[in-house]
Amino acid sequence: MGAYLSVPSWVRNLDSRYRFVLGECTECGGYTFPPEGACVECNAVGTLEPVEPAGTGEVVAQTVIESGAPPEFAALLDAQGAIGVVLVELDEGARVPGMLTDCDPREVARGDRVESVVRRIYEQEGIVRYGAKFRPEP
Amino acid sequence: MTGTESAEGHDGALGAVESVGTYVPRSTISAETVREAWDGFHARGVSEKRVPAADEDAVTMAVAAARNALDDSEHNRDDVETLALGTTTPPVDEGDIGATVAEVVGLGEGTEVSVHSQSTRAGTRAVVDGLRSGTPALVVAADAPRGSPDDAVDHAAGAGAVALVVADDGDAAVTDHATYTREFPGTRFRRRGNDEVETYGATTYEREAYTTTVTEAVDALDADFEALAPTAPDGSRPGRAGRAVEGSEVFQLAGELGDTGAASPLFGLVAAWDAGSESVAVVGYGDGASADALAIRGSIPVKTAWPSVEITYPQYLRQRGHVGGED
Ligand SMILES: [Zn+2]
Repeated sequence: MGAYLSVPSWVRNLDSRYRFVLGECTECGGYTFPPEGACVECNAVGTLEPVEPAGTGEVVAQTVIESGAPPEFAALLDAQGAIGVVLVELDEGARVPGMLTDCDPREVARGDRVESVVRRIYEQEGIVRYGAKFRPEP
Repeated sequence: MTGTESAEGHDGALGAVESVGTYVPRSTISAETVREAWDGFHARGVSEKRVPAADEDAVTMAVAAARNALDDSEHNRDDVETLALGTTTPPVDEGDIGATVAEVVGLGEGTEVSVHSQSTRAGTRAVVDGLRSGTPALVVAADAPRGSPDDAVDHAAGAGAVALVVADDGDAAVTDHATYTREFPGTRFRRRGNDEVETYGATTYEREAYTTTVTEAVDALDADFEALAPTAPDGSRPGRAGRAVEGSEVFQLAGELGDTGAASPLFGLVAAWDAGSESVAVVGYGDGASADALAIRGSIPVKTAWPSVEITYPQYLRQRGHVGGED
């Protein structure tokens, strides 16, 4: 969630938006998300190989938004009452941010297992932006 | 139009269903809850139904079912040569949602992608397209229809998606295909720019259109079958096709999922397989009217139980965008 993102910028990282595709560093084995620029672990440049994680992991940080969401999320906030935002440590080791779905976000805590699903993130200028969210693992 | 058209005397199969994936939203509302809110419940044979979450639509449900079908397939997504999607509820009037589904699933950029719409027959149209195109093909029917909140269409309106990987070989062979088309306007339609499905409202006429079209398509099949899986706009209408087609047991999941539109005959197929049927006639019927009948021999093990969370009527209205700031 954040500042306005144009469609041409949005489509640049679709593999990461839909499937959390990460960059695995050929130097140190560390993961960088999204897979652009230098390795976040060792700062090596040009060493990131795209890797598709399973999409499962553990919540390491969590926030609940009940009001004051950016305008593009107003309809979702109206419908859901609250929006959960989490930082998830994927089983492959990388940490990625995402919204929660299919749960009461107030009942999700650090350490909970989650899995990724693709949902509508928001609609803006008539265009639906889809992306991966997390829901509690069954 | 008069008469019927049948696939030309195939000894061999047209192809086969190799794997199946389903998806239904977890939110469930009971007929009782709707009845209390409206002082009446007009969808026949529906005891409860599924409701899409506020962030779900035909695209996201199609993706979820497609991923499940690929997980159970011998083929991986790089093998998929065709994506055929069927839905009456694309989130845009124009714009290729097939490209979005292909991109989210991660199909190759050379995959032939097509979308079938405008009729609840769109799901079986996608199956036929998949069988005729390069295989393996990923075929997906996903729907979440909506009506005016006080009418039978909306009371029945459910949600769900079924995906099939269709290939040259598989445990369920498609042995024949037949179609029937004859004009019966107004049995089910949505005006341009409108989200709500309407019907003309002449029940006897709508039943005649359904029964005639489904029966004629099935009669044109060169196959015997023990189960019939027709389009299920509610939990009652499929029984009419059953009475017209002798000796077959009718399967549908509209009674518990609601009207899943283009996906409904494929949910019927899944229910027939779950009950042990080894020969099923799947019939996609849609306004117009027209029907595709597919004879399927063999079966694939499937589950017909999905996680469920009961919601209230006000939640239902918010999730479906009947009230509040729907985009
Ligand atoms: Zn590194």
